Amino acid sequence: MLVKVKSVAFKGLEVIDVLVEVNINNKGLPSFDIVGLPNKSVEESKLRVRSAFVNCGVEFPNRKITVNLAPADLHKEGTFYDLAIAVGVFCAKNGIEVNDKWYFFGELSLSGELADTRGSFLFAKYLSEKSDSSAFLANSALSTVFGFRGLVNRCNYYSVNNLKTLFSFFKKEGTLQPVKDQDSVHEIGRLRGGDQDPTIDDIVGQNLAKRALQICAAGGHNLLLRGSPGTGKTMLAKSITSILPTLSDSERLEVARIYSYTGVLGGVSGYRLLRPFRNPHHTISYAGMLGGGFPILPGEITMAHKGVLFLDEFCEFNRNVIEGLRQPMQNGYINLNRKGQTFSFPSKFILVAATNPCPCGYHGHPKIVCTCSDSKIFSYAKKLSGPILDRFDLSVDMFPPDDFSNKAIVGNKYLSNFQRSVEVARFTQASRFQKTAVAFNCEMSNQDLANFCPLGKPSRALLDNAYRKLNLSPRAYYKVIKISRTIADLANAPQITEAHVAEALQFRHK
Amino acid sequence: MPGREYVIQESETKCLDITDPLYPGLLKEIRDPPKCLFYKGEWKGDLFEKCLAVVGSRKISDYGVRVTEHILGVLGQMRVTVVSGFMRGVDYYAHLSALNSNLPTIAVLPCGIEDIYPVSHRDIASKILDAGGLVVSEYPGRCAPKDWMFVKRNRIVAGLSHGLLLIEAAENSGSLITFNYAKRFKRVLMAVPGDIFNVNQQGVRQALYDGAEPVFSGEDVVNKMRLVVDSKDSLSGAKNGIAWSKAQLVNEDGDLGKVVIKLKETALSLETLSQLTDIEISKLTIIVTRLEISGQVRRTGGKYYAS
Repeated sequence: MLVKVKSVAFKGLEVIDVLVEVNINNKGLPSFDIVGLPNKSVEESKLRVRSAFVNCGVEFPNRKITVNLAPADLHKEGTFYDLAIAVGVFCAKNGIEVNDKWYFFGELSLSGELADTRGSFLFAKYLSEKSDSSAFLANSALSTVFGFRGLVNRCNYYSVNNLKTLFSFFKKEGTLQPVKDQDSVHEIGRLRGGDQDPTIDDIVGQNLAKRALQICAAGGHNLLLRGSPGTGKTMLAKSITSILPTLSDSERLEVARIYSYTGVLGGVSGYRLLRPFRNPHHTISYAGMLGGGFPILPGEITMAHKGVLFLDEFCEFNRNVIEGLRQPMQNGYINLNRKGQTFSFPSKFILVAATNPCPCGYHGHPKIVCTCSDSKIFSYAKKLSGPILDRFDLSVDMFPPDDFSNKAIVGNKYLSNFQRSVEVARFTQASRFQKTAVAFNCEMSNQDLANFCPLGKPSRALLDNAYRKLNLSPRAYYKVIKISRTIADLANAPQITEAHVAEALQFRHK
Repeated sequence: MPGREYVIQESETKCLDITDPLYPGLLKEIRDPPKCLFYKGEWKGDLFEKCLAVVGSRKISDYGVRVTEHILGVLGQMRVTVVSGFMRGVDYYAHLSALNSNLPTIAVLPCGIEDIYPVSHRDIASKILDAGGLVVSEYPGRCAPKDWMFVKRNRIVAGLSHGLLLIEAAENSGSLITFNYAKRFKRVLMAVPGDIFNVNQQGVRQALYDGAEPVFSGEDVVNKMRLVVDSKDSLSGAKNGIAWSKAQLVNEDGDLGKVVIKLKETALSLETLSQLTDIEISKLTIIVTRLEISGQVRRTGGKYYAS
């Protein structure tokens, strides 16, 4: 008999319906074959399913079994087809029809227990928009799904612990009740950063850099920190999570989709999801940064979506990797081509980079002598030239603090003030850009600048003066306007004033 | 200005023989004067009337930048040509400050005249030519610099000049080679003293032991070189005047003045400046920008100083 069971396949972050057709033929030699471009992980499902049957006390049919995963020209990978195949074989054996709105997702252990696998959230999210449908998935996967507010749950979720209960449900010997979302879990502490991460108040001095960080967090501007080792670049960059607002419900869903696809969502419930902060090592490969491989996996730029990508030792990164960042940063997504298919991954992030001024790190240090030759210093700085430097709106030089005992340096507490002002600035931007595709000040085109950032006469005069006197490039000129807009937003000022422009000018590249 | 950087290639190369009457007398006197000088720009005799070689470390500190700009700023009214070796660091700032002070300047290349080394200095080469200066080399055509060529170049820098000013040099610095040439040629030797603990000042100390006279201001250089005021150019003096009017120093809170006074002492980062003046950082950025635009304050390597 032929039975059709529904499951899904992933094409990047896109979810596609897959029909698992199971046919048991009474003629021919006993065999168990899977067709429809399965990879090794799908292929191995045969052994898991067979053992699971035996260990659940159900006889595995000793016939010619053919499983087809349609559409058959799409590459299938992942262990989650186990459940659909097991259900298909069981129903085909017992002559049971399976409802075509029931979707199955899960990996089997040899004992017949169901386990959560990567992609379960993507699956649940996909089904949540399909009314009348039912999703059968592992119990552990469900707890993840239910942590998300803003997920419209139109479908029924059935939590399955092991194959035995499912089989008795199909034989109408037992029942399965759809699991309802528990609303109570939503509001349990929304966290900004991990417990281990430093907050902005843990850093001594560096008020200029902190201010830059505040502007960067508010307007989504990319930030370049330059300074000798130990001045606090890395710590400062990490503390950005402490001032960024918590993820909004829609952002949370987007991040969870990516995390689920790559398998790092794990058992984290939605409400515990933190704003991404990615800190790849400088030896990272091109594919690691931008995404690649087959089956395709997103790179760090996608993992940092809606969050922060922090590149420490920026000048040590492979030049190609850095250059590769340009286009996805501009577009907010990256298209990758693998085996004739195009995959699109989102990549909207704030780039924070830190670099030493020279290979030894002490060029310009007030006390320690730099041991690099002039050409070394020059070529080191040259790695940052041109188009890449253009991606950074803010640039700050950091020096070691002069005096630890000084109250003025140590005593400043910014955290709550920064959090509030960043939230206000983000809110202002959201209402300003309501009818446009722009989300943050940093994304404004020159046309948007004309629309949203009119400069008064004095501020215009100041900027024009600076353009001439300080040798700004035209691009730098527009950047200054964008930063001034963010500074004005932080101060809750509707108009960009001279003071805002003057402050913005200090964050230009040297 | 797009396309500007190639001017140097476009401008015609000329050659001056040692027998030519225009060949600088001072250079002719040295033991092994170049038989032939290749140059770009317009060769005028009065360019060599009074030449000052400004040399020093390739790794210039913000102090060095400040010294170079300050001294050459004062020389703005004088009749003097600044000669240097077209390297990074002190050489670069010497050429740059000379241009800013409307002084003619001569760049002596260590490589072939058609090559510009370092390449990143292309734009300043064309600026030197535009300002009536010269780019000179004893090698024709294109040839990359070798170690020995830098030494040979140094003898021309010293040979062309009446005096030599050393700003920042480490113990084994190449600028000490130029210094020793100048000493052998019996030029006026000057050096700007600096921090005695700084590695980049040990060469200067050496020079001071070896007979260089310490100079502390542009006026010192004027006196030691016996420079005269250039009658035809009185404009640049006014432009580079460093006298502060009272009105400029007074701002609504007097903060502007406070900042300038601190920055005149030493170069400071905004962070330090904020502590010293007790001005909040976001307010300080505004003040500093104003001062930068008005030209009173400059920024180098993240630090600020009042010129």
